Formats: sequence, structure tokens, C-alpha cells
Amino acid sequence: MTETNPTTQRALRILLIVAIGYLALLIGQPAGLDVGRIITDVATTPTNVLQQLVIGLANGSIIVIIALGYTLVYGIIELVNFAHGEVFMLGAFTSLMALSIFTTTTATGGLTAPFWAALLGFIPAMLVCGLLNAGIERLAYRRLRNSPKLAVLISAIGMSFILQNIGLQFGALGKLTQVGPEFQIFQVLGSNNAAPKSFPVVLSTANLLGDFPIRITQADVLVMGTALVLMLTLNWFVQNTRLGKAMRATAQNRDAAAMMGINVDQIIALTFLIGGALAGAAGMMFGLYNGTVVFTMGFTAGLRSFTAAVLGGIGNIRGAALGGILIGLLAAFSDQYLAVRWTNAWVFLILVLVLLFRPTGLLGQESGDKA
Amino acid sequence: MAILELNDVHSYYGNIHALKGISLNVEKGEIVTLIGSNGAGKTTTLRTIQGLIRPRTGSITLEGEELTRLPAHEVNRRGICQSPEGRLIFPRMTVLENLEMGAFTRTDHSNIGQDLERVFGLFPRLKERVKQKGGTLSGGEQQMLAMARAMMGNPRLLLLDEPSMGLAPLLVETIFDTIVALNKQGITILLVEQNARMALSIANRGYVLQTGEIRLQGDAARLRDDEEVQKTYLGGH
Ligand SMILES: Nc1ncnc2c1ncn2[C@@H]1O[C@H](COP(=O)(O)OP(=O)(O)O)[C@@H](O)[C@H]1O
Ligand SMILES: [Mg+2]
Repeated sequence: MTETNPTTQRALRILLIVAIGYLALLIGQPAGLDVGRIITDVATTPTNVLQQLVIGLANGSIIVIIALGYTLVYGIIELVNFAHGEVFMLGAFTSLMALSIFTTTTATGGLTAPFWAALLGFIPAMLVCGLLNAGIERLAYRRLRNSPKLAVLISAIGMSFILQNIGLQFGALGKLTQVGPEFQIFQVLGSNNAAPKSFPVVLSTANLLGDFPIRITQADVLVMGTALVLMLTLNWFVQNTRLGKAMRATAQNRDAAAMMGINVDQIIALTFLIGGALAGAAGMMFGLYNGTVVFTMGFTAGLRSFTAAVLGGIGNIRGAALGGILIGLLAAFSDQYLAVRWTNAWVFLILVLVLLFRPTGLLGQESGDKA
Repeated sequence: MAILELNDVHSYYGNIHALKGISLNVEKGEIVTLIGSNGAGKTTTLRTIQGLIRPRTGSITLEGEELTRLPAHEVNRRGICQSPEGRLIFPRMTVLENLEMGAFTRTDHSNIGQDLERVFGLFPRLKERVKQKGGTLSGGEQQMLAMARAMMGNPRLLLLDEPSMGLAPLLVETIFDTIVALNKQGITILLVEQNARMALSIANRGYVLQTGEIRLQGDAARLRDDEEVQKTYLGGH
């Protein structure tokens, strides 16, 4: 580093920001960054901004719940669990199957399920995904725990391919409905493995605010409410319970935790179990909110949630919450005002920028980590 | 019967043969010190006893019970607690939470409060800082916390790995005084030190470790007078 005085440094930094801003405006055009059009859009329907806020918060809530799984696992074994997005995808499929037992066909040919079935469906989704995630750890990560980080990372990527293919093949079970009526529950999977599957309609799409120009539906309330409950429960668990303290201790120093009598293997398995259960819940939330699930959905969700975790400060539970909401909002506004096709690219850009300029994220590690 | 007995213990890091047949014993109520220069294998010995490293051959027993293949958390449950090299306190937990973690596996909950008062008696500084995060403590305070945390496990055998490392001379005195005080309260201690002079001055017996082997052993007083120990570890005279 060469010596420069603070004023010069400041001027250089401002220049850099102006230059990046200029480049973004220039290059951003094809990616939907058309300032003129955006201003017109906002001016003609200003309420739409608030509408996107609602959508962003709801989608952000789902991202938060997935991001917690990344952050918990990273916090405890410093692994980016690339399979996590796929666990979420399988969570959505499990939710769909759980609902399908209670699904009926309406007069107009649509599928519908009662509200209590959706709430009940959270249980199998969380259970299956929790056990699946813990199983992945046991099978693919535990024996590599003392290997170079790259080995575990590659194992995680491999796991993600396997799970995505399981998701694809699972769709084929829909064909069983041709065999006989006893396989009716697979009807929700349709006849094409790879095609998106429709969730039965569970929630009313009526605007809870009546004729108000901003729509808030039951789905918005359910998704945000569930996310809040899960987040608060997790935070309480980690801060106050015996197992939660063991999780924190293991995350902060694994050897010391073992010396305290903590069964580190068990605690790591528990962490995967919790992260997986959250991904399962997010799968149900996603299905209820967006109406369709598809075997490739783990990638996008994984990218956004991982970015959210990194943006907030990976390993930090509050950071995941903040990052998830921000990415949800970014995605909603990008979908509306930039271009849907480019939303993932914008999210990816955020990921790259954070990793380049602030790898510890907005909140960094939890406070007090000066040792 | 000895509280702790190691018999011909061999430990490895991959292909590095770090412990080449360590045999030692610690009797109830003793302070036994393990001295030796940097890289001799002192920490490896303590980590092997604790179960963090599995010895390839040899046996480790605690009052006759086999510990050799037990994982670290099981060894802790059998009454061996350690203040490890580098302290390894939990940086994002408060002092109080760190101490609670020390008592994590105890079932005699009614005695924990009493033990907390006992360690606060030994380390008043920690009492002033109960709500502070471990990572914000000074090096000396972290050392006290690591020792206090190990004490909270109500150990049958306390392992201390270089408790004086990196501390100011005055603080070193305090730490050694505390070790003596702990021992007077009836705690058996295996003390690893590079500061051989101090360690031998408070210990009953000592072992001198060199490149993974026990080079000398005997009464602390005798070791202090030994010509070779004087030359190599006590800076001659
Ligand atoms: N994690 C490790 N991997 C490989 N070799 C190690 C490791 N830790 C220690 N060693 C080696 O084992 C020997 C004993 O080390 P150690 O027990 O830490 O010595 P001491 O505590 O007496 O300074 C040294 O030669 C050291 O280089
Ligand atoms: Mg050492």
C-alpha cells in the first residue's frame, strides 16, 4: 500500500463510486436499468412501489428461513452446504404430497385443500427435510470433516446434483395414477416429471384490505407470520436452551466444546436437522405463496438465500434475517422495475460485490468476537 | 492406585510420530508437571489424555478405568477437565456463560452455584466481568477464565496447558499461587509448562519431555538440582 493522505483517498473513493455508478447505468440498460422508464413507471402508479414492498417482504421471509439453514451450518462447520437449496426443493415436494392427501377437485377442475391441511403439512415437510439434511451430513460430510475444505465443498455440490435428480425422478411418480385409483395421491404431480407442479389452492386470494389499491392476501400474512414465529423460536432456542448453548459453543470452538463434555457430532447433526427442518418449512411457505413447485427451484432459492446469508454476515442469525429481507426486496423491485430475466444476475452481482468489498457482510460476526 | 496412568502411549499426526511411548502416572492430590521445550509433545500428551487425539498404541487409565479409545466428551464426563493451550474460551459468550459451559455435563446442579462462588473467590477479576464477552477479555483474564471454566467441571484431574504463556511476570505469580491454592483444596493437577523453574517450584514430581519421549523423571526438588535440567531448561547456573 502506498501512502496517500486521507483527502486524496476520499476523493479517489468518490471517483470510484461515480465511475461504478456510470458503468452500471451504461451496462445496466440491457439488464433493465432504464432510469427514464423506471421514473415514469413509479410516477404513473406510485402505489405499486408499496405493493412490491409487500411482495418483497413475503418472498424475503421465505429467503430468510432458507438462509438460516446456510448460516447455521456455516457457523458450525464452516461449510457452504450447496445441497441446502435442493433440500428446500424437496421440502416443497414433501409439502405438496402432504397436501395431496387432503386435495379435492373443485367443480371448475382446479385443485383445492383445506387450510388446516396446509398447517398440518408443515410437520411432515419439516420432519422429512430435517432428517434428510442430517442424513446428508452423516453420509457426505462427517467423514470429510478433517479433510481440506474443498473436499467437503465438492461433496456438497455432488449431493446437490443427486438431490436435484431425486426431485426430477420423483415427478415421475405422477404416472402411477394411470395404474389405479389407489395412487390417486400422486395426481398432483401430473404426467410430466420435469414440469412445474401446481400446489392446490389453499388460501383465498381476496385482498384483506378490501378495495385498497395495495393487495395483502392471506398468503402474505401466513408467510410473514410463519417466518417471524420460526425466527423467534430459533433465536430463543439458540440463546436459552441447553442444546442451543451447546450449538453456540461448538460453533465458537469445537475442541473446547468437546472438552466441556459436549458430543460435537451430535450437535453438528442437530444443527443440520434444524437447518433442514427450516428448509422444509420454507418449501411449504413457497408452495402456498407461489402456487407452483418445480425440481429446479432449489437453485434460484439457494442462490438468493446464500447471498442473503453472506450479505447479512454468514454465521450470524440476525444477519440472515436482514440479508433475506433485503434480497427479497431487491428481487421484487428488480422483477417489477428492471427485468425478471435479470433478477438472478442482480442478486449474483450483490453476492460478488459483498464478497469483494465486505466479505464479513453487513453485520459481520456476532459482536464480541475480537479474540 | 494412581488417578491417571499412561502406559507406552504412541500418538501421531498423520505420519509424524509425536509421542514415542509415554508412560507416566499422577497420584491423587499431587501436582505433577510435564516440562520440555517447544515441540517436545507436551500439548500432544494432554490432548491424547483428553481424547482429542487417539493414541495408536498404549493405554490410558483413570483410576483403573480404560480411557484410551474414548472421545473427548466422554473423557470429560469421567472427570478430566482441561485449561487448554491457547485458552480456547468461547469468545462470543459472556464470562458467566463460559463458566456455565464448564459445568455442562454435571448432574449435581445444586453444587454448581457453590463452585461458581469458589472460582469467583479464586479469580475476583472474573466476577467483575461476568457479563462481558469472553473475546473482549485481556490475555490474563482469558487465562483465568479458561482455568475457572475447567474448575467448573468439578474435575477429578485438572490438566493445565501452559497457564503462564504470554502473561506478565506479576500475573504469572498470581496464576501459580492459584494453582497451589487449587491443589490445597484437594484437586489433582497435571501441569504442562515451559516455565520449568516455576513449575518445579510448586510441583511434587516432574517429567521432562524431549521430542516425544520422557527423558527424565522424579521428585521436583531432585529435577531442579539435576545438572542436565539446569543446563537445558533452567538457563544454567
Ligand atoms: N496439528 C499438528 N499437525 C502436525 N504436527 C503437529 C501438530 N501439532 C503438533 N505437531 C507436532 O508434534 C510435535 C509436538 O507438538 P506439541 O505437542 O504441540 O509440543 P509442545 O506442546 O511440547 O510444544 C511437534 O513436533 C509439532 O510440530
Ligand atoms: Mg504446547
